[in-house]
Amino acid sequence: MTAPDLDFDTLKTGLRRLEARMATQDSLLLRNERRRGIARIQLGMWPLWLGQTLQVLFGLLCIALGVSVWSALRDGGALFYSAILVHVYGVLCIILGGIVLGMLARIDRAESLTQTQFKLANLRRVYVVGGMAVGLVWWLFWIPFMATLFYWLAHVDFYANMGASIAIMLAVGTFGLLATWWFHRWSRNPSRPRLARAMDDAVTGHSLARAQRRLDELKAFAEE
Amino acid sequence: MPSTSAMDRPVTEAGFEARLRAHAGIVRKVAGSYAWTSHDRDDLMQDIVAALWQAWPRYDPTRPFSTWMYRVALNTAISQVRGETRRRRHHVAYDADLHDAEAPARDLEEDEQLVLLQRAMHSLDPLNRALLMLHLDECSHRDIAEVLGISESNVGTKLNRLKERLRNTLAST
Repeated sequence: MTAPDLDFDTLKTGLRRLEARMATQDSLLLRNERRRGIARIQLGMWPLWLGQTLQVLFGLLCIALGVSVWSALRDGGALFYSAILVHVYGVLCIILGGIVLGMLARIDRAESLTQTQFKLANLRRVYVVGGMAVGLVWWLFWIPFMATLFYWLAHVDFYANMGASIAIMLAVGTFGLLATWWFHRWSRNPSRPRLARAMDDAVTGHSLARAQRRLDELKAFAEE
Repeated sequence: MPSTSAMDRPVTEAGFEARLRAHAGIVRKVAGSYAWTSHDRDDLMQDIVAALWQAWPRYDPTRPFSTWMYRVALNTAISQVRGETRRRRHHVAYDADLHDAEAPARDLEEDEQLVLLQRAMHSLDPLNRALLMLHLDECSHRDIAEVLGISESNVGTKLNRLKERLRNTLAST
């Protein structure tokens, strides 16, 4: 048969015959397989659950650390504001982790395809953007974090001990943040396809682009 | 006195198995539309049945079982194709020369129909593949709209475009 003669009845017959061929060899009702399948589905989502739960727990620890330090100082100094930043970062971790966990819990495969796939693509996007937000800030955030931690551990004033080095640390952090952004853009230039592919495999840029592409595809599919 | 859930469980499981047996063709057709070898199809069918069993407690008996089953099965298949769930074995990418190599050849016409079907399915993205599969399974536009989550008029428009696209794609290969 040639393609120009394509008749959809041929495809219908093909699907029926494929189904009949498969019917002779399947074992859909095996209960052990079903239990193993559910365990596999749950295991597949486990890294996401674990990662977000750990993020929420880390957020709680940051809040505890921040509150214990800023409530003891209340002097409007650098350490006080560092502890406030640690507190805010903890809240951010909890909010982003909670959003992802909530989105994950709301996914129901019995909903329509566009609803479920839209939720999955949106989940991936929020997960990637959230991960970048809580990760990239460490180029600078480690300074107030360490200052708060040292004060909480031993009442040491990190800023007083580091002196002018703080300015260098801030400059390095800002440079690192900008360099990360620049390298990300540079590596994705079409003139460097091999590097772009390697970066796709290694960093979240690809995941984000893929999530956005799927969202766009879904919108186009639903609205056309 | 035993708990209600413990008493209901065998009835629930029997009900699930009876319905699964009656609609097993849906699971096979979905697996056949999204996986190219018998191993991958088996894996996908088991994943679909597991997803159905997991979703079963939330099934609303006032709604058609087949629609619910199509939704769960297709969502599971699309997630697997897009790599959002773990695969048990090494996934075999589509290859027109290797497709169904393990299946014994029965007759030439049947094999040609299967090759054409798989070429058609493979040329489409996962959502349009679902649309084609539902159409080939002779679902009404209303049912297709409910499974996909789009309007009935959109189903008709999309099917016309899909047919045209498939004719062009299959003619050029």
